Amino acid sequence: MLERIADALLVLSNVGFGDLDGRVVVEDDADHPLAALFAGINETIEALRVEREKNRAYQAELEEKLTTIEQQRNAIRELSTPVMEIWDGVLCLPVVGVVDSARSAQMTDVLLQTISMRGSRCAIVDITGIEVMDTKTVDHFVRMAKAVRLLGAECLLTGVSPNIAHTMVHMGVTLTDITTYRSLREALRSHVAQRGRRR
Amino acid sequence: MTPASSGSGEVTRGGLRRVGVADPLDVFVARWSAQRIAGEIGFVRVAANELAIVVSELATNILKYGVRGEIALGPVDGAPHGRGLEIIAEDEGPPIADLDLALRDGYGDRGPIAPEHWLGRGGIGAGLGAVIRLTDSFEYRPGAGRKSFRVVRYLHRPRKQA
Repeated sequence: MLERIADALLVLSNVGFGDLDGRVVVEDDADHPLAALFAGINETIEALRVEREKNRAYQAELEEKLTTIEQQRNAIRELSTPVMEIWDGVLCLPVVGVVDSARSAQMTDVLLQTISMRGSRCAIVDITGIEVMDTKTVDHFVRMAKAVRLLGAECLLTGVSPNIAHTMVHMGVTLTDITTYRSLREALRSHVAQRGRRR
Repeated sequence: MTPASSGSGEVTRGGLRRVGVADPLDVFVARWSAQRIAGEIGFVRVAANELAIVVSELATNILKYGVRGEIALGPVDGAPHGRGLEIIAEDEGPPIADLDLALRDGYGDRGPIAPEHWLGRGGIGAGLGAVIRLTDSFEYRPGAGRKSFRVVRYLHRPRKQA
């Protein structure tokens, strides 16, 4: 009898360490005084195990939801093309994420419409963080800059990465085609200073 | 639990990781899978970003022209070009009317695309051109009521014939 109690204690101590797979051996004779107790212990361990499984499932589900939310947040950030007026008459189009041909078409449209709607005088396109663009997409950006000028505004490109600079030179883009600045801040400062001189 | 994306994310089948493409979020899921797998294969970040553009263009085309489809991604290895990433884009859409036209920048498969139509059709007609420029091999397989593209980009890009 003592041996069986020792076995039961061992199983219970394992439960304490998180092992819910162990079971106390219940002998066939149901009249044994310990049989009911051992069966009860087993039922409790089983109930604990089921609860733990449920908890794990909930946790996995929650983590999956968080991943989805994170993905959607990134997607929204990349899908939206915010055009902000950062100064009187100065628009800024910050571009993040991956720029493919569909997005470059959409950005051009949004920018040109906003310029003509608000009568802006300057548009700063900031591509900091964009490392790679297809040559045709870069070409599309240069065309966008020219279209902005046709609307009577100035188009400044900022945050050009070495890789994209290389692509541009390779394509034969010259500095008469597009005005670039190192950063958004420099572009804005230069534009505002120029405007002050004109007054 | 059903994720918000109708393609319900990435699954592995037949040794390739597959992302169903049926809504705009799936384009992102496919793109992120491509970036991750490219990194696993050993592509540097700029190359992985270029592959993200490739997958983006292919997945966008599925949404635009195919009813629904799938992007499958997996590593390739062997002679003569060594390690690389294979991308298969398959959809249940009609085959391309004129592939040569579709591959030209500024063209759809039925002719040139005027700038005033860029937004209406959601692009500038340079998607497949970009896919070709950023990969090393390109195969188009038209079928009955479906079509697929298979492209491979190698870690060490072989020189393309001009």
